[in-house]
This record gives sequence, C-alpha cells and structure tokens, in this order.
Amino acid sequence: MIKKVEKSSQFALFLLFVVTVAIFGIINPDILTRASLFSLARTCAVPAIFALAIMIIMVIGELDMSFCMIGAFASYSTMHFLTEREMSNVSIFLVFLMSIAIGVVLQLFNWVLVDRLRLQSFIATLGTQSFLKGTILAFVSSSYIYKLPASVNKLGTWYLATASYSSGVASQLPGAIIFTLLMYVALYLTLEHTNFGRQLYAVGGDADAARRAGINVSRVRFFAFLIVGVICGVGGVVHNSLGRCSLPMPTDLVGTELTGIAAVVLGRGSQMHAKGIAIGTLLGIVLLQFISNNLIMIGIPTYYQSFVTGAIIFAGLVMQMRQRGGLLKVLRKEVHAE
Amino acid sequence: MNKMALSRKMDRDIVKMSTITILIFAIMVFLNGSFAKAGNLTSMCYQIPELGFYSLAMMMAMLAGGIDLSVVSIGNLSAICAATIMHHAYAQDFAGGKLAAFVLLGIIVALVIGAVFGAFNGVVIAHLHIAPMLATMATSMMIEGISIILTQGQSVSKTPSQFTYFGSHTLLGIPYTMLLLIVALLFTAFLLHRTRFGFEVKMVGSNPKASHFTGINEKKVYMKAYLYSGLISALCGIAILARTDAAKADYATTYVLQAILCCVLGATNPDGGTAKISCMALSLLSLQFLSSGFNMLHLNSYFKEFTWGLLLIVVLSINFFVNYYRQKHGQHHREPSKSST
Repeated sequence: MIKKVEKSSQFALFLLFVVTVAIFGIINPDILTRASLFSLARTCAVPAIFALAIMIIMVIGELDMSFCMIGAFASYSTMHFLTEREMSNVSIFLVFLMSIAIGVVLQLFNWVLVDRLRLQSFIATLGTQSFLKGTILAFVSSSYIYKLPASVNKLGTWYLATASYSSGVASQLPGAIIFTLLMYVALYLTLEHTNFGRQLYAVGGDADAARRAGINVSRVRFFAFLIVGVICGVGGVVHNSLGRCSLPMPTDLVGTELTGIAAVVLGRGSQMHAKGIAIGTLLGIVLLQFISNNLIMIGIPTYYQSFVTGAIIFAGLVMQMRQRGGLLKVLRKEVHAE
Repeated sequence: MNKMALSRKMDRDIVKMSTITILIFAIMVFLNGSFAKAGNLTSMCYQIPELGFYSLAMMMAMLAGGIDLSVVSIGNLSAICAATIMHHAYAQDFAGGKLAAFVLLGIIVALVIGAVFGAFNGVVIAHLHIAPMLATMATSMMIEGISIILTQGQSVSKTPSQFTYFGSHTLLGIPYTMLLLIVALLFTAFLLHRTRFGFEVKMVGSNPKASHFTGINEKKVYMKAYLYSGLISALCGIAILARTDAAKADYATTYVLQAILCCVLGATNPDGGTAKISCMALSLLSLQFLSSGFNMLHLNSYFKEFTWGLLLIVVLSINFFVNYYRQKHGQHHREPSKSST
C-alpha cells in the first residue's frame, strides 16, 4: 500500500505541498490555524471547479483557453436575465439550470471547432474567448449587477463553520465548498472506475489508436465538452454567489485560466495522462492558492507572486521530465545520438 | 510539379489576403470619409509596429512548429531595463557622447535580455522536451514576475527626448518605428527564403522527425528560432518605449492573442512549416484598418475584441473547408494530420 502511494504520479507533488506548508507554518504559525484553513477553502472553491474543467479537456489531449470566459458568460448572462426581469425569487436550481444550459451550448460550439473542424484547440478557443468577451461586453451588458436573486445570495452566505484568527478577524467555511468536493469525487470515480473514464484517457493518449480500438472518438469528445460545459455553468454561479465584495462582472474570471492549467500540469505528475489526475489537480490548486494566499503572511511582498507561481509551474514541468525517464537519461541519449 | 502546386497555393493565399485587406479598406472609407486622409494613415503607421513585431516573433516560433506566448513579457522586460538605463541619463541630464552611449547601452541591454530569454525558451523546449505552449506559458509568467519585482508594479518613464524622437517623428512621411518594422520584415523574408537556417526551420516545423533523419540538428534550429523570436520581441519593447516613453510590466498583454490572430490570418500554419511574410504584412494592415476604423466610428473597444475573435474562428474554418474541398476533389495532397498537445 505504501509502495503504491510512493510510486503514484502525485507523490512528488504531495511532498512539495507538505514541504511548502511546513516552511510557511514554521515562519508564521498563524497560517496553520483553522481560520486560515477556512479562508483557504474559500479561495479554493471556485478555482478548483474551473481547474476540473480544464482537467477534462487536458485529459482528452486538447487545451482550452475559453473555459473561464464561458463560466463567466453563462453565469453573468443568467444573472443579467433574471435581474432585468426582476425575478429575484427564483429557486437556486433554476439559476444553476440556466447557467449550465448556456455553458453546455458554448462548450459544444468549442467541440464543433475542435472535433468537427479539426482546428488547433488552443488557437480556436483563444478565438472563442475573445469572441465571447466581445459579445457580452458589447451586446449584453458591461456593468456590475448589484442586486442578485435572493437564492444566490443565500448560497453565498451559507456557512458550515466559523473560526477566528488570533487577531479576532472571523473566517467562515463556505457551504459552496460541498459542490466543489462533490464534483471532484464524481469525476474521480468517472475517470478511474468507469468505461467512459478509460475512453477519455485513451482518446487523450492517442486518438488514432483509440479509434482503431473501436472507440467513437467524436462521441467521447462530445461528452467531454458537455461535462466541461456543466462544470463551467456551476462554477460561474458559485463564483458569483461567493463574491461578496466583487459583484458579478462580465469578465472577472478571465485571466485565471493559467492557474487551472498550472494545477493540472502539476497534478498529472510524471505521465502525461496519469492515474488519479483529479486528486493531483486538487492538490495542485490548493498548493497554488495556498502560496498566493499566504505569501504576504510570511513577509514576502505580493509582487513576487507572479514569479513564484511561474517558477513552481516551471519546476513542475521540469520535474515531470525528470521522472519520465530521468533528465540525465534524456541528455545521455542525446549525447549518444549525436 | 509539386513545387508548382505549392507556389500556386502560396499565390492563392496572397490573393485571398489582398482581397480581404482591400475590402476592409474600402468599407472603412465608405463608412467614414476621412479614413483615407494622410493624417489617419500616418497615425496608423505609428500603431502598426507594436503588433507587427510581436506577430513576427510569434511567426518564427510557429514556423518551427511551436508557439511563443512569452513575446509580450520579454518585450516588456527589455523595455523596462532599457528605460531604467536611459532614465538614468535623463535624470543626470547627460548630453552629447555620454547620452548617446547610455541610449546605446540601453538598447544593447534590451536586445541581450531578449536574446537570453529567447535562448532560455529554446533550451527548455529543445533540450528538456517540454511542450512549447506550456513551457513559454511558464516562462512568460516568470519573466512578467521579474518585471514586476524590478519595478514593483510601477511604470518606468522619462527617457531622453533624443531617443523618443525616433518614436514620434517621421522620415519621408513614414515613422521611424515603421521603417524599422519594414526592415525587420524584409530581413526575416530574406532569412526564410535565402538562407540555410530558413530552409531548416521550415523543414523542422513541418516534420521534425523526418528532418532529424535527414541530418538536420533540430535542437539547434529550435534554439535559433526562439532566440530570434526573443530578439524581435526585445526590438518591439524598444519601439514601444520610443513611442510611449514608458515601460510597464503588464503593458498590452492582449497582444499575445492579437499576434496569434495576425499570424494565422497571414497564412502561417499553426502546425508549423509554412509562413509568408507578404501575407502577414497584409493581415497586419487589415487588422489595423479594422481597429482604426472602429475607433473612428466611435464603436467601443469591446466590439473590436468581438470582431477579432470572430475573424480568427472564421478564417480557421474557411481554411478547413478549403482544405476539405481540395482533398475531396484530389487537387491537393493530404495535409499532415493535426498534432495534439
């Protein structure tokens, strides 16, 4: 059992995580309190959901730059529609349903571009992102929404527990974290224990080989994009409900794509399409958020944040190369080849 | 025979691009009479170089079968370093030879920084075998981080007026930065069509394995391509500094998307292997016509973003359908299948 854990692709990441937490904790013990943990959970809830979206896309071997925009688009247009018609008493399920529907439609548009038209996913979705951003700002609305439906507010202020820092500042554990965890469990089970999950990995590993093995690649991609659409829709609503001080703004999620991609890159470990990628992604996002949350608490100015995050992603990429056959081995092979 | 087919395809790209450019120009002139006035054309010439240099840098990486997302951050870091050095000369009120020396030093330092980080990208991609997209994404974050640490998020401004003269004046009616861009485009065209490096980078971009077996050292080619990309980015940083007299860590980060759009629109194959400088110049012009035209029509910048995204998707889709049609009718050999990340 221990050997199995040690050999798993996420072990290096786990070690990195433990070391980081230990260093931070020694410098400032306040970081390891319950209050700090709750605030970490709060900042993780939304990025973790979006990391899950890009994770599925990366499992099938594509890249998506539009998932954050789609989440923002789905949620913002839902809120805009509801507040315009002054339907502030709708149930939370309807809000989620609308947002999910919009998210799914937009992701299926991506599916058409990537699968049917065989465009390079990175470039095509970059186009989608710009297109959607322009659409929502130019044609829907470009202002904040100040009055959200009551049910959304209620979701945002639903707390499971409260703790306070030594300074007396209170910190709550948001109930929305349950959504995040449930989605992780569901996708972990799907990826590791169902036929469909195997097919996702197979398509990502080698689409041609998967096709020859009798997998309907287009269909698998279709469902992958559909699931991602659902995740984006849910993520957008959770984001809007949790953002107490940041009211819904059409494009406030855009620009956080890199965090998600970084988490997946860190989380997939040594193999490109590793087992247990969902666990790795969760660890990756918690690590990244932990660092950006607490950098200032150990006395490092915030403007180091971008560099530190970049360096960690870079280290993750290099580490993967090392594990994949050993960096030295790769270099040695090169010497022989020349 | 094959060569003829190839040249015919290239011509078709130029015809397509020229049509688009002229069409956009005509529409803009029709919608707004003062569009074709000399003043507007000159002001467009001031704006083109920024995107032009970044697109050129992006094109080189794309030609080698990769992508370089760090162009803007390299440009900004170079500009910041150059601005810091030149600001010193400005603050001390140097004149004559000393001033020239400082300006020259600033430019050289900027170019060296561009080359160093370009080469770093090259090493990471060629020797550590990290996918270009992920590698340059990480390095771009790190480089931007360095810029932020150096400047603490502030902008560095106030450089000698003798230097900014080149960003705000014209020679024979053409801005100096535009002339620099034209020289860079011509030089790149020469590099691609007349030198061994140009040939190798195209071969490696279209099929790295095959070119490896024909004896091309693809690692060196990657190194050179990304080094060139870094140098051009640094040049862009200098041009921006000359025009705006300021450098900032997160200046114009949207240029990454625009540069990709400009390359893809300009007949650069995103899978690597083919590029056409003339098409890219035309696509630069048409993008600038669009953005200036929208500005003159008082449409907000969101509309511009919308059009750019739409244009990127439409152009890619048209390329797909044209290819599909040709394949179906056997007019064109099969394109290499899409490479996955």
